[in-house]
Amino acid sequence: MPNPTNTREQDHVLFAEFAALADGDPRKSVVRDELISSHLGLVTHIARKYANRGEPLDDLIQVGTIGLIKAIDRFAPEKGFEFSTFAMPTIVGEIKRYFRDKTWAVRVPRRLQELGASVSKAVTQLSQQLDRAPTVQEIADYLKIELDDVVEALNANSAYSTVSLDTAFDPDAPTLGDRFGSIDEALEGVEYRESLKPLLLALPEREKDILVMRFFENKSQTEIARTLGISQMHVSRILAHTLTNLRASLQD
Amino acid sequence: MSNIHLRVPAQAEFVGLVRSTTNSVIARTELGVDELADWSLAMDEAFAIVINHKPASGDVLVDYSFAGGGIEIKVVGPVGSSQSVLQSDACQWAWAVVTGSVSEAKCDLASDGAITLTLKSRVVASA
Repeated sequence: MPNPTNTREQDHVLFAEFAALADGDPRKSVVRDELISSHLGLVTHIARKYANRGEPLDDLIQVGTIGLIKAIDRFAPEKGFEFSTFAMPTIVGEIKRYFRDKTWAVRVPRRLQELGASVSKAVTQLSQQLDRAPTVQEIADYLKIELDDVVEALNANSAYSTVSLDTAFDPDAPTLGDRFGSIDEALEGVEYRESLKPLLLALPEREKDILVMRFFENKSQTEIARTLGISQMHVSRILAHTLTNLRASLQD
Repeated sequence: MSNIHLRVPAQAEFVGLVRSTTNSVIARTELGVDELADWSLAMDEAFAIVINHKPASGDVLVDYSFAGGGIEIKVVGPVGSSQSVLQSDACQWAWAVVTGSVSEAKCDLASDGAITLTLKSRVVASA
């Protein structure tokens, strides 16, 4: 049965209940899920506008849903705004950021871009099935392609540009750093030379989060990908970009 | 699988060749794709370490050997490095990334200044 039409009244009732519930209350996640599912149509509507730009619609909806969840968590109904008006910039921002992160730095043949998208999706699906990162051979078997084709896609992955990663973040958007609250503390405790610490602390939040999770919390790239709701290949690109920039800064 | 040997000029623009070769080699082991991605990062940093002294000339040798489904990679830089190079912030951070990306890492500085980095993956028992 389709979801009932989302009405203003339903929104108000659900958001009022959501705001009144304590964080640990199991009912809170139920209400949150209701709010998410009743506004998924908005995410799909926005995601469709960005379809046909080389990224699968499903991925855009997934990324847009992250924006929706952020908006639900931050929405203050007492301020009198409609939720859809409030949520739209956050959802759009999340989708745009996804595109910024995935812009190709060099002209990569369409075949390779599509192969990369298939491999990325296969990695995610196989990781869930196997509960570990798949080997390259397993990906090749799953996609029924040659092992070297997978390698080619992985090599092309590094051709993604992440030049805009450090710009145009929504300044109001809560970052993982906000949620975990200990990212900077983790870096503050690092006993590296003085030239390194300011570079680490000055990293854009998302890069800093991923760097800390990988090298200070010892999480695998697959675990980081699950935490952030992005693909392992995307984590890999961001890490490579961050380390390349750090290396260049340190060598200056 | 036989060992694989790669020799490239000790210049930064050849790091991509080393990285893609490493990806191709590791794809033939039993390591997962996130480990493969870690090795890519580690090799970028390892290459930067062994060519860190300027001017860097000569070649970098990369030896790949296999054991138990895992891999050992030895990266040997040209002569001319020094302890002070290894103590630089850039090298120290690069080394931190290397050690955080692979299971075992060892750094040796020969009397002629050739740096040898020996990196190992976790050993994966063959099926």
